[in-house]
Amino acid sequence: MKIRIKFKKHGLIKFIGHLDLIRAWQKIFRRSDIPIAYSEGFNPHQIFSIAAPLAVGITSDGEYLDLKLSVEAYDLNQLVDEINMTSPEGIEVIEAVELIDKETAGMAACKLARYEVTLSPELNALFDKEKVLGFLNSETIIVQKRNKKGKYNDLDLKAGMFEYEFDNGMFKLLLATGSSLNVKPELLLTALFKFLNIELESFTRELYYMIHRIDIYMSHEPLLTLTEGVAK
Amino acid sequence: MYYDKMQSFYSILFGGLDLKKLKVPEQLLLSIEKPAQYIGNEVNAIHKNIEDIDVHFALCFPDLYEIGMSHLGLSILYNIMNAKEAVYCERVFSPMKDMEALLAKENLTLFSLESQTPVSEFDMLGFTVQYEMCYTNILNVLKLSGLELRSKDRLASDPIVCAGGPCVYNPEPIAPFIDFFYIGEGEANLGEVLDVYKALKNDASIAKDQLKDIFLEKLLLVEGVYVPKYYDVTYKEDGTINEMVPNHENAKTTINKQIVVDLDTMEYASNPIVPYVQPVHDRIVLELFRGCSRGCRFCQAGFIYRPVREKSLETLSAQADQLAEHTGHDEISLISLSTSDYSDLSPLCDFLIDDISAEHKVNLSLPSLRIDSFSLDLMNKVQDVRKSSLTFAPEAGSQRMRDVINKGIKEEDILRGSKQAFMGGWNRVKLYFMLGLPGETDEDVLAISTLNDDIIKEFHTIPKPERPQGGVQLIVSTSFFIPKAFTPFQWAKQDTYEEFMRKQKMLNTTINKKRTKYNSHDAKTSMIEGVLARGDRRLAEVIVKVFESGSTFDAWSEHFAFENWENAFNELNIDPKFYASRERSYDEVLPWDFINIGVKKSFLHNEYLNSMKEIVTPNCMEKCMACGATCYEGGICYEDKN
Repeated sequence: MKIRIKFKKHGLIKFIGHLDLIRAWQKIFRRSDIPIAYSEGFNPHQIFSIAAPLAVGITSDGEYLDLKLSVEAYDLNQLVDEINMTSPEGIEVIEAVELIDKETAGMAACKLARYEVTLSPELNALFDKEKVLGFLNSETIIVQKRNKKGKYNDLDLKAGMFEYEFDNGMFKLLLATGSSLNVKPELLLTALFKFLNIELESFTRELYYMIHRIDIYMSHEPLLTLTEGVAK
Repeated sequence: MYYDKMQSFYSILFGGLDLKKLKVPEQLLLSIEKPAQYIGNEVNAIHKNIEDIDVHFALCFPDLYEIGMSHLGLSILYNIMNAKEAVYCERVFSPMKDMEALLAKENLTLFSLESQTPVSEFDMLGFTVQYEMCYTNILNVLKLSGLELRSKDRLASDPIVCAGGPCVYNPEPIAPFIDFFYIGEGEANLGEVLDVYKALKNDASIAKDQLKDIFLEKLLLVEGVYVPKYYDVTYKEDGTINEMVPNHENAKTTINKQIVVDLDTMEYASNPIVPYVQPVHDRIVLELFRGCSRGCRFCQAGFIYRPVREKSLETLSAQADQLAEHTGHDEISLISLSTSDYSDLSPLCDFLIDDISAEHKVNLSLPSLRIDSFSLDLMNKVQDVRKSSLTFAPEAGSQRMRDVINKGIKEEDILRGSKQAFMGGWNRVKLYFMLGLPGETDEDVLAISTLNDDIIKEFHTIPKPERPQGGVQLIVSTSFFIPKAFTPFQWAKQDTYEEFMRKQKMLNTTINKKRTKYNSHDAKTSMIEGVLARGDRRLAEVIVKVFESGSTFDAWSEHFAFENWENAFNELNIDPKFYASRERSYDEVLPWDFINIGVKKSFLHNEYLNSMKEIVTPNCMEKCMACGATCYEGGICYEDKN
C-alpha cells in the first residue's frame, strides 16, 4: 500500500537539514508500529521519500512524504496518530492519502510552492517598497546559478514566479519548484539585495529574514496540493 | 511560559507554536555549522521546570557534540541524575570554533542545551574527563562560561565545578581547576553527593555565600569524593613528591573508588537521547560488562574498572529490546573492554540477530573480537556478503614482548586466526601495535614486520581456489605507548620523542609495502599525553599557559600545537622528561597514591617485576592472583564461590 502524508515542520526542527530529517523519519518509523515496507537485499532500507527538500532554517506547513507499507490495507487515521505519537516536537502529520500504484512520486510531481518571506523590522526599513515592486514587476530577473558541473548559467527567475506580492515587510510568493525549474526564495531575495545595493553576507541580530513554506502543488491551474491532486 | 517580543513575533507568524527561547538568536544560528547541535530538543532530551528543582547540574563533555553524544558514560550520568526529581541535569559541549567566535562577537557566554541557561547560573558544572588531551578544552569551557579557571579565584556564587571519568584516577594535573572529583562509577555514589547539596541548599540557616564552602567540607565525609583544596603537597629537592597531607581533620588520607557490584539491578539509560545531528556513533550501545579479566599490563581500564561484573543475558535482552523501541536506531553495538570474554556471548548474539533484528529491524554491529572460529562464524552471520576488514590487536610483534605486556596471545593464535579469516573470505586485515613498550629492543620492533610477513605467507599457503580474490592486504597501525597511572607500568619510563620516531622510521623502512599499508604518525601528542597522564599539581600552570597561548582541541591533530606546550614547559622551567621519560622507584610517592582502586600497589609492582622477567600472569578467569579487587565483594572474584 502506498501512502502520501502531509506534515508540518515547525519551530526548532527547522535547524535540521534535509539528510538529518531523513534520518529522523527513519527513526520515527522504527519507533512506531507502522508496517513500513523495506527494500530487498542485504542492506534493507525503509521505502519512503520526501517530495521537496527544505533548506536549514525554513519552516513549513506543507511538506510531503511518500511511503510504502508492507500491508495492503491500513487505517490512515491510525497511521497519522501513530506517527504523531512518536514524532519529535515540530514534526506533525496533518493528512494522509492512499496512492494508486502508478501515482507519480511526490519528488517528480511537485511543480510549485508557496512561500512567505518575512523581513526583520530593521531589514524592512532598508526596503523601498516602490523599488521592490518595480523589481518584482520587471520583465526578467536574471541571476547566475551554478549547475552541478560547477559552471554558472543565466537563470530567469521571472519565468518561475507565478504570484508575488510585497507588503508590510512580507513577501508572498508562488514559485516554480521541482526538477525543471526551481526558484528558491533565497535566490530571489539575493537578487533583490543586489538590486537594492544591500550587503548582507550573513544574518545579523537586526538584519535577517525568515522563510516559511505554505504548501507544495502539483498543478497550477487548477492549483492542487500534492495530496489534493492525486488520482483517486 | 512567557514570550518576549521576538517570540511573539514568530508565534503569530508561524501558527502560534511555542518556541523555546534560544540563547543565540535564531537568525544568527543560521550562519553557523550544524546549528541543530545547539538547540537541545532531541528525542528523549529531558525538560524540567527550573523553579521545581533543587540541584541544577550542567554536565559537560569537553569536546564536540558529535563526539560527546556518542559516549555511553554521558548518557548514563544524564539518566541517573535526571531520575532524581530534585535534580535537573543538562548537557554542555565544547562549541565548534564558529560558535565560539559567534559567542564572543555577540557577547554571550556558554549555555546548556536543554533550557539554554548560561553555565554560570548552574549550581554545579561537572566534566566527564575521558582523555588527557581535553584539559585545555575544560579550561575553555570555564572561560566561555565566564568563570575563572582556578577554583580559588571563583566566587561563592559561581557553580561548583566537579569532574569524573578515567582521567581523574590521576586528578592532580587539573586539581587546581576543580572543586571536587568523584572517583568511580556515577551510579554508585553520585546520588549521595547531590543529596548532600540539596539538603544544604534547602537549609535556611546557611547563607548563600557559604553554601559552596560548607558543601565542600561536608563532601569530605562522602565516599569516593576528593576535594583537592583540603590537601597540601610538598616536594623533595629532586622534584619528587615528599608527601601529600590533608589540611582538614575530616579529609581522608585514602579516597576509595566507588563501583556498582550488581549491574543487573543497576538503573541504566533506557531512554538515551537520539541526536538530530549525526554523532560519530549513531546507534544503540549495549553495555555487556564492566572491568576486564585479562590483565594486560599497559591497560589502565583493565585495572581501574576491576573487578569484572557482567550483566546477565536476561537483563541485556530486555535492555536491547527497550533501547530499540525507545530510540528507533537501526544498529546496535556491544560495548565492554573485551567482548569475546562475555560468558553468554553466543546466546546474546543469537538473540540480537534473530529476535531484535526481526522485531525492530536493527542490525548488530560487532566490535573487534578475538579472532577464532566462533567469532568468524558470527561475523559471517552478521556481515552476509559484505566482508569488510578484520581487526587483530597483537599490541607487540614479538612473543617476548607480548609476554612482557601480558597480552596472553600466542603467535600461533594470530596466524591461525588470520588463516581462518582468509579462508572465510576476508582478505583485509588490520593490525594494531604499540611502539615503545617497556624493555622494547630493536628486534622487538622489527618483529612487527616479521609477523606481518608471516601473516602474508599464511595467505599464500591456502590453495588459490580457496582464498579470497584480489590478494591479501594488511593495514598496520602503530601507536606510541603511554604509561598510565594504576598500571604495572606506572613506574616505567616512556620512550623519548626521538626514540619513538627512530623506531617508527625503522619499522617503516622494513615493512613489506607491497601488501601492507603502514599508518604512522607523529609522536608529539603521545609525549604530551605521557606527561599529563602521570603528572602532578605543578602541571596545572603549564595547562593554563598552553590554553592562554590559544590551544584548544589538543586531541584533534589539526588543532594540536606542540610549540605551545614546548614554550609553556620552557617558560615555567618544567622538564617534561621528568614526568614522561623517568623510571620511578617503588618508594617514590606517586601523585595518585592517595586513591584506592581496590587493586593493591604491591600487586601492580609485582606485575611490573614479572613483566621484566617475561612472566605471564594468569587472567581472572583462570586463577585469582589476589590483586585486591575482592574488597568490592562481588563480580568475577566471587563467582563459583557461593
